Amino acid sequence: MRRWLRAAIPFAALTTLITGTLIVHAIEQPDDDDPAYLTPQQTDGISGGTLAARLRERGITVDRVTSTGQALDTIGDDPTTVFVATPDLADLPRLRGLPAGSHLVAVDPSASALLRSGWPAEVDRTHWSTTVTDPGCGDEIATGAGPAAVRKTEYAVTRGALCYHGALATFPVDGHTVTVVGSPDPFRDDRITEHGNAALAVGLLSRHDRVIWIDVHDRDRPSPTPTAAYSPTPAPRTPTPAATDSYQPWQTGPAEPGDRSGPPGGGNGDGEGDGGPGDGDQQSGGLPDDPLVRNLPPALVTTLILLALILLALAVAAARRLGTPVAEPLPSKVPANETMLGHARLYQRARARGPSLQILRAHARRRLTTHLALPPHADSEQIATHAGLPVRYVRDILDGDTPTSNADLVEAAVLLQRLVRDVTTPPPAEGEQS
Amino acid sequence: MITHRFAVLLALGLPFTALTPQPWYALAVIVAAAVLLALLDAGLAGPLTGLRLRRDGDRTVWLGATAQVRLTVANTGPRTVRLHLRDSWVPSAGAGPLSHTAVLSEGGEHTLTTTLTPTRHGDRPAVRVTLRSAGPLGLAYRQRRRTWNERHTPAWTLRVLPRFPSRRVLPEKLARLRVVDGSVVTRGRGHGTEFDALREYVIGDDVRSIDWRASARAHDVVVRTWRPERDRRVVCVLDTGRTSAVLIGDAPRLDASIDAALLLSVLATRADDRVDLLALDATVRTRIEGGGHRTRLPRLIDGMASLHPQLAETDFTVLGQEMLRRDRKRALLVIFTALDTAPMIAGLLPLLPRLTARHKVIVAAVRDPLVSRLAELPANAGPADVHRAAAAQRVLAERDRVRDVLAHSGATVVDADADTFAGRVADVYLLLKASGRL
Repeated sequence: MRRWLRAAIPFAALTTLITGTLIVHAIEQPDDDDPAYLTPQQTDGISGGTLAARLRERGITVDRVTSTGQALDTIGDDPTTVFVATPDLADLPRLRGLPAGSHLVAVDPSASALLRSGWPAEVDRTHWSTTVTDPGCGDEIATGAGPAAVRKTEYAVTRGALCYHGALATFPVDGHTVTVVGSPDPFRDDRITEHGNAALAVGLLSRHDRVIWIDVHDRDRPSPTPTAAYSPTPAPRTPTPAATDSYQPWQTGPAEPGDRSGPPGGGNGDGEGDGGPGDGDQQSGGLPDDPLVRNLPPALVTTLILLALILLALAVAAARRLGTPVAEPLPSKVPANETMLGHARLYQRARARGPSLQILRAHARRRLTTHLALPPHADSEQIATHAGLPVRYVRDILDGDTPTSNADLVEAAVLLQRLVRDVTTPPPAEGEQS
Repeated sequence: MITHRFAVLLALGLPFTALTPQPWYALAVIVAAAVLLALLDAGLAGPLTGLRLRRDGDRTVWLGATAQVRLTVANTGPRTVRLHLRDSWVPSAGAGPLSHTAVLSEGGEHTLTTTLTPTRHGDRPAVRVTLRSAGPLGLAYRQRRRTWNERHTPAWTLRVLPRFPSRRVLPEKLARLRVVDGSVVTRGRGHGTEFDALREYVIGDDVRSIDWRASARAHDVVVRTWRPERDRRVVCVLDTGRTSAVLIGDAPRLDASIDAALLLSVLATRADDRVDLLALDATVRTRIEGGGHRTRLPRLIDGMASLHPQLAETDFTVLGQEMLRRDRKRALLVIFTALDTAPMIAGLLPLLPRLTARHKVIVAAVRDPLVSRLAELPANAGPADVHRAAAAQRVLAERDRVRDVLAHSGATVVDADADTFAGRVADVYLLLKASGRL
């Protein structure tokens, strides 16, 4: 159990840390469907009230609309700036019919929103958080604003211009100009005052006298009928009744698969056509789309398959044993003298030099008194007298002071052992002495 | 089931798939051919159901010696069987070789020999014979499930008798026993108190043993001879509790106790005494009593073979119940245990006065030579050695105290190193025998 815990705790801690970070990050991100998100009506945190006020200061009319259809109704024929704060919720395909010379500014559109819109742009890479970066381009507004906190999503475009390392993309679409900004930070009330954010946001939206601010926080897309979505002339300014409707559950399901079903179909057909004889299963298993597999010579594929079969056969042949191993209970065996050695280590750890030497002295005294036939409690004088040794020598060894260092202890113990040996070993016979 | 040859067969097809213009057909043909051949091979392999197994060979072996068990396989089936066989024993049986190969024609027999070098005493069973019948091409084989193999394995158990290293001192002890017995002419009569026989006086006999009355009747000088008492009871009590599991050298203490008990049993049996065995820890593990004089020693050895140390505290009250029964005759009680302070004081000591009142008690414990060695300082001693010597001296002092207390309660204590332990126990027995104190 303890070993299991030891392995599990670091992983659990790591998982908790990662999950916690992800959750905190998700909470910190503003939501598109939050009514306060980039709305011109409030001046609070993630709202856009400050931006709207600054635009009005410069004499620009800010018209707030709450649906794409309403925007198309109110736009008129003059070039206008359309600000799409939530492109993922707005009905972008319908906005292709803007008056010529208009500007459309979309804030942080996702890859699916770009795909749906039909704009010549796609998401290149996405960062964990927004960072400040230099414009790095010749666009007037960008160079006028200087460094700004826009680099979160980077875009790649097939035509048009890129600023801020791809975080600000400008490209023409059907006679009007679309600008996608990679982060909502320059427009938010709490961030607009930082760096060149304000200059950039105001600059992007002040190209015309009027700004249509599409403030959508519910799904504003029609039921996706694939033909309608990609029709080249999407009937501008004639809103379908469904466009202004609010969310309808049965409409949501097939939106994205429907969009994607077109182009890959051709590739599928090619793959099956190339397949050799006898490999129908291999080719229809999902691989044929991969041009690498399609272009491999069949001899190589069959050789690899045969090699795999050989390895499988070897594994199967080795798997069946001629009898499983036999188990039996092991006998109980207890290591000897664990307590004694534990005591010894304890003495050493506690630096119990006095008690250790005391035990050795008591043992030496017992052996000497037994050997010299003295009573067990005979003192050092008696022992010295009977052993024929100087009294002081014996007393120093048997009744000496408590040793203060390890060297003293070792010396005392060695002397003690030598005394016992000298007394208890019989003196050599006279013949041997010569 | 397929063999490695099947993979080799597939590998032979590699050049065809790589070089032919129709590699997919080549692959299909190669795989199909290999599978067909393997199926054919498995079909042609001899059936396992026709095989009959039986065993013979050694039933007992001394630990350290080698035994041979023969396994005979007979083929009663309709086809030749190319047999691969594995005779599995428990690991401590030291069985070898691991597997055998044989070709059994229809109605043929083959004997395979498994050599066993056991590593522990006790019963070592044969667990399973696994049979595998290969096809004629060696591409595939037939093998049944484990349960089927276990059902068809002939049972066999090898009883491994405990190590008996003190066998080498047995002749010396027997010689001394014969001196005690008086059956060897040494210095006159045999020791003992029981009257044996009258015989003619020879020069050197003790004149005090001349039987004057008989001399008068026989018109010659006749002396009495004596012999030691016979039919005394010796009870070997083996403590198989936790203290017997402690390793002395590289073997548990119980092994040394069994060795000494074996020597004592052989001696006492030769001296015509009755030897009983009682092995106990928390309960009685083995009890061997009664029985004929001839069969007693083999039964004792057999009983000791199955003993193993148990991790339980020994309950000496069981011994008390056994030995203090009213119908128990006076016996020599030899208790093989350990002189550890706590188990002795809590277990044996309260019982000892009552035991010594009815029986002659010997407490025999083997000593760990490591303790005595550590109690002496080595040549270049450091502080660790001094502390270790102190700890060892403390253990020795405690054991001396236990020994004194046991001796004070009337028991004879034998406390010796493993190599001399059995001999010392035998010496105490011979001494008691010679002085007629059994």
